[in-house]
Amino acid sequence: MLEQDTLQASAPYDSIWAATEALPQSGFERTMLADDKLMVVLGVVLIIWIGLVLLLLRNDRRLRDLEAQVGADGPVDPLDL
Amino acid sequence: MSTLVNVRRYTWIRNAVLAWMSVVLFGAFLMDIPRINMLEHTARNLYFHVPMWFTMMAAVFVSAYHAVQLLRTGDLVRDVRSLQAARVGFLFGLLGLATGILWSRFTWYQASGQWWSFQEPRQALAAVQLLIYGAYFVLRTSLDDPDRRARIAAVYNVFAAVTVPFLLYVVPRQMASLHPGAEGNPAFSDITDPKMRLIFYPAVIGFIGLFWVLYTQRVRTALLKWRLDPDGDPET
Repeated sequence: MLEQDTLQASAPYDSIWAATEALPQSGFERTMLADDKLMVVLGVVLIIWIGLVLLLLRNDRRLRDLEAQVGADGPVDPLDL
Repeated sequence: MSTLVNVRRYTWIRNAVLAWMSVVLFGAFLMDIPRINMLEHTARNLYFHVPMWFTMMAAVFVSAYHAVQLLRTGDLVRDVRSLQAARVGFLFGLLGLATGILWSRFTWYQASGQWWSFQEPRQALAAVQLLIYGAYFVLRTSLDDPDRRARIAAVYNVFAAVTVPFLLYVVPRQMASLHPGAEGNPAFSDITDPKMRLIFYPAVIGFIGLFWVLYTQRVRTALLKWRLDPDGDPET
């Protein structure tokens, strides 16, 4: 029983090379694996980019709150002349 | 006053970091690299995924340093700095985990189609590491008195920082793992072209610089908020 569990548990470590071609690929997989997997790098860069942008937006919200606290007039919008 | 932000220096470093990272981005995509089996172009993730963890470690170090200074001096500005370094560092850790999940899905798990496995010590322990810092933020919100909160959080912060080298380096290297640099798996530098270091090290410096910019921005905002309401809480 224990041995069987171990065998099943080791599935993710199985050598994948033989099976790579055999398994049907979804459209998403085909996109990610195309061009020598370049899209995976794009995905990684986009994850980091989105994370940093979300922080940027949060920081902006904090600044807006502080500006509201300083006074309703607040700082002058340079574009609203 | 030395704990407050020098805005001139901040602006100068911000501009340098942004220019630097722009060059690194071009280099990361334009420099030709050998296509190794399974990795193919994803070897370029070395420039993005790995610096996330380097940056998180730098952030954790900054956070723990200010936690120790808080315990030494009781200056609440140290608490603000410690918290903001931990917050931005946590973001970089999350990004490291997320980019690692995507990378592994199309390399190790290409055939099995998995996104996650708790049998992978590198990933599992990285997740545990983030939970330890998650507890730091929860701990802070549960304490009302600013001085007490700062001291208790600083003690926990030092403990959390001490776990980082063990969970991210020492333990995963003792275990069988598909992640490079583990038992039975060569370090990434052994399987990739040495010239990739030309981009990798500048990327590490650039991301740590980016951390510093974001962290300093948040410290400035937090100190301003505190100044507007001196009787209020510095930050939870």
